[in-house]
Amino acid sequence: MKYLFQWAAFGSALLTAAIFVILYLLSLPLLSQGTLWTVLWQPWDPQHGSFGIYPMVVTSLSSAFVAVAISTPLCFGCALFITQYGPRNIRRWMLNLVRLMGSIPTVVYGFTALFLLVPRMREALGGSGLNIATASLILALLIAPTLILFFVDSITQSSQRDCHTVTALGGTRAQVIRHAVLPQAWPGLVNGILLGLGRAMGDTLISLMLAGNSVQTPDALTDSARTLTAHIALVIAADVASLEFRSLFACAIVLYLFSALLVIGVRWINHSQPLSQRRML
Amino acid sequence: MNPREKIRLSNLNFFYGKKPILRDICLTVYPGEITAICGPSGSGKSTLLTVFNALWKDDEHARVHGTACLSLDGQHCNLLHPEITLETLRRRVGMVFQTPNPLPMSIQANVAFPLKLAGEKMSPQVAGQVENVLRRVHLWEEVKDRLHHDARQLSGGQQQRLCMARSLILEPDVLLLDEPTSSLDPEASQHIEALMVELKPLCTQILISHDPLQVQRIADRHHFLHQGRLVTQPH
Repeated sequence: MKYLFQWAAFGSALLTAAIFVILYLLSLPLLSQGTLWTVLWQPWDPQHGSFGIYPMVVTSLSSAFVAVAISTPLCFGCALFITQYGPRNIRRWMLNLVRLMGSIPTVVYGFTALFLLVPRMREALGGSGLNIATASLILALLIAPTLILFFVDSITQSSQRDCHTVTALGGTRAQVIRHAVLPQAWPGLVNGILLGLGRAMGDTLISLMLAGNSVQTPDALTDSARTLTAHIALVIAADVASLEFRSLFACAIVLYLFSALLVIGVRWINHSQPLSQRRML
Repeated sequence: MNPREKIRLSNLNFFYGKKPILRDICLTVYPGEITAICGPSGSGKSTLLTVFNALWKDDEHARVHGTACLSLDGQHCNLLHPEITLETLRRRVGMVFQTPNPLPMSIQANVAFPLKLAGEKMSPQVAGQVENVLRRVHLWEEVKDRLHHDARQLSGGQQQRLCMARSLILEPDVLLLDEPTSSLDPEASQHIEALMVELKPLCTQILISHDPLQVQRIADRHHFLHQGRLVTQPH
């Protein structure tokens, strides 16, 4: 049994490495004309033989970071309400609602936003209403359940003993959160943010439906642009022998490396010294 | 309430949900004394202690009926009043828990922490207060060269004295001690007992204890709780 599990674990690790190798081999025809670095920095202009993915990388990063920036404070407030401030029955009800939100398919978010949010963004910002800001708002909503559940978990796992101590010493609820909850919960909070970032970066449908899909490097959040995932979905119909098609594997490598970086970040945080131990006066 | 009394509980009933934990408690605590509350596990001793600093109010399942009065600066404070300022009350009624509970910060930061909660910043004056209170609990000589070290590196007995110092820095009127020596070795327990006797002129103490000998040694009065009822009166 032990060997079965060992082989299962080894097989999973091997599969992950194999995916990277396959992506690299399949993108070789494109990468042989330069390096991954060149592909990263070039614009996308297949008519003139330029298959760079720079505009898509910029769009993916900007929409994901904006989504996380919008979602994090709101989700943190929501998690504090669920764990600290809200009446017990409302807490349970809210937590169930958040879990339900997490199970809604992304296409439902996208489709609803097309009818409810896009016209309002068009009125407010001009243009078609399909831009990075619109996509980021819905991505923020999409990643909210992940963030809230992570935040709630890390806050509830923080030591009740420290919370009681601060309360008994005359601490207000806010002081309990600041001095007893946050110093212990921060790695979980950062993990949640990183995973939320990964989810926002990896989502395809919302950016495909709401970001506008223009192949241009965006100058502002009101610009229509295309993310890496939307680009893969749009170009997948190209001739499989073409360099255009091969560029998709370069996109996949970028997404793969980004995800790997996030996982390494999460691992590093989990193994790092807790902030509480760095608070010596 | 008699002016000689520090705390008076009358017909106090404590419910957790629908379950009665304390029934018809009538208890008087006198200033400058050590009042011990004994009883078997689950008799409601620690629950009773939470009435004195209103810690029960943080649990939404807990309900208390009856009268609980505390004399503070000559004024009578109703501990069960819904509008009572909990933070102010808890700064006047300190608490030391069963297990030493230093916060994950330095020795100095731990002792100064209640002052920080009250809005004071670290200053030479606060450092002086920290030194005074550490001297009072006879811990200064042991820690003066490592004030910036993690408080959790101290021994159990030292940690408990540190927790007492932390409670004393606010000069509380009442100190609640929830079995403060139960997790300590005999020598460390002796230190804590001696300290409690020394503190009698400074504050009123309410001690929860399982140890009848300890109660005999240091308590001025004792009460016995059984199944949520106070079954013996002070001698």
